[in-house]
Amino acid sequence: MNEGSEKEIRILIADSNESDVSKVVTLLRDAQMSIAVETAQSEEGLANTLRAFKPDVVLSEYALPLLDYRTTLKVVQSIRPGTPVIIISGPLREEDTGSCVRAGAESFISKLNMVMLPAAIIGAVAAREPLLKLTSRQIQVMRLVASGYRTHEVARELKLSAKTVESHRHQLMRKLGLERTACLIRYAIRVGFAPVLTPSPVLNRTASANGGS
Amino acid sequence: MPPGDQQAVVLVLVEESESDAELILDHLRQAGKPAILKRVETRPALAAAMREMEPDVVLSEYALPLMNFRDALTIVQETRPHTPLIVVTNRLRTEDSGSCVRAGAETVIGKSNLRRLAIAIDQAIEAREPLRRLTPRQIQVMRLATQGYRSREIARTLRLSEKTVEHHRHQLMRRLGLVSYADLVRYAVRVGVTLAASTTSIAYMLTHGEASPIAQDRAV
Repeated sequence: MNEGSEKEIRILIADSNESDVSKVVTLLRDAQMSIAVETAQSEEGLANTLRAFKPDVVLSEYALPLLDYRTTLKVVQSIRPGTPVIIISGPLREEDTGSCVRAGAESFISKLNMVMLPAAIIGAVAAREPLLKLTSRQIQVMRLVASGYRTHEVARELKLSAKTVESHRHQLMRKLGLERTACLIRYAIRVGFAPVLTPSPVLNRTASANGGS
Repeated sequence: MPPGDQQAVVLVLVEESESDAELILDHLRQAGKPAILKRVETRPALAAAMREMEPDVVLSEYALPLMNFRDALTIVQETRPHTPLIVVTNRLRTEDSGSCVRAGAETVIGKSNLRRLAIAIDQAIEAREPLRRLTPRQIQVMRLATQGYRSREIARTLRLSEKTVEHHRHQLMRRLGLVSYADLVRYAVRVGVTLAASTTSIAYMLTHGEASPIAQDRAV
């Protein structure tokens, strides 16, 4: 990938440690990335910066004094859904990459080995490029479809006619170059519009009961 | 055989270092999770170990001279698709850990942070509890259906009647306790039966077939 000539990537760093922030910025500039950076240290600061700065990527420390990564994910999902959140942290942590990704994070990068950070950012932005072709209405429809809403349920939720919903759905799949609903859902999961389904004890119990053991 | 053999978790480890294998066993023992472990370094050895050991979990280095974790995933999905694979490595130099998870790995654990391993193993097994209620045929149907193939296409691929495919689809939804197709896709991605991917990768996979479910979804 030709990083140097790409357009500027806007990065919001949620980290209170200035030396860690400058390390990240140096690393990305050394990788010939053209970047604009803002920082946030609290939930309120994050929300305001998301609205004003409109970042392409959020880099989040795993646990800031005022902001943990799950709160970061929640705030990003409500204000700028689809914006990738990459967690950057030291090795002392309570979770592993798999659980962070399933919670909606794009990736997890260790502060001890940040060599893959530029590629992770570029990959995250590239994967979301097709979304730029969609209207905000189409993105709403995509998120609901991927979460399992049927056409009439999407229509009720968005106060549209079923026919309009069908038309949005048709258009957005055409724009994304995806023909099948399964593919739309797989892509929605990729960009964080729908979480994977982790079975709950309830799910397990229901199915066992149906099995008639 | 270690004592407490009944509860021991059975592992196959794709790894070249015997001392790292010992290190992993030590950590699991300390975490109150005794394990039986078979170490392999090649694809044929992994395939054989999948049949002979019937492991609960496969652990894999990121890359060995003769194979990498994607090769391991392919073999696991071909032989025992309800088995989770956890990447255990300190050598992520060409790919970030999120990308490994999107390729179908359950998670990535650093060799210097092995205290997460016991919990990750438990979570991986628990998430696949519903999957173990399916027959191998039902998992095949689930894979193709959640990749985006229609019943008619699945029937042709598996040389079954469309009616039989429909029956399998109905059965597997019931056994998983799911009602919506979206939930089936979301669960299939959770357990690595299907992969979340970028639009270009998905389009490529559909046109070129996904004989191997483990396509590379790198930065594209």
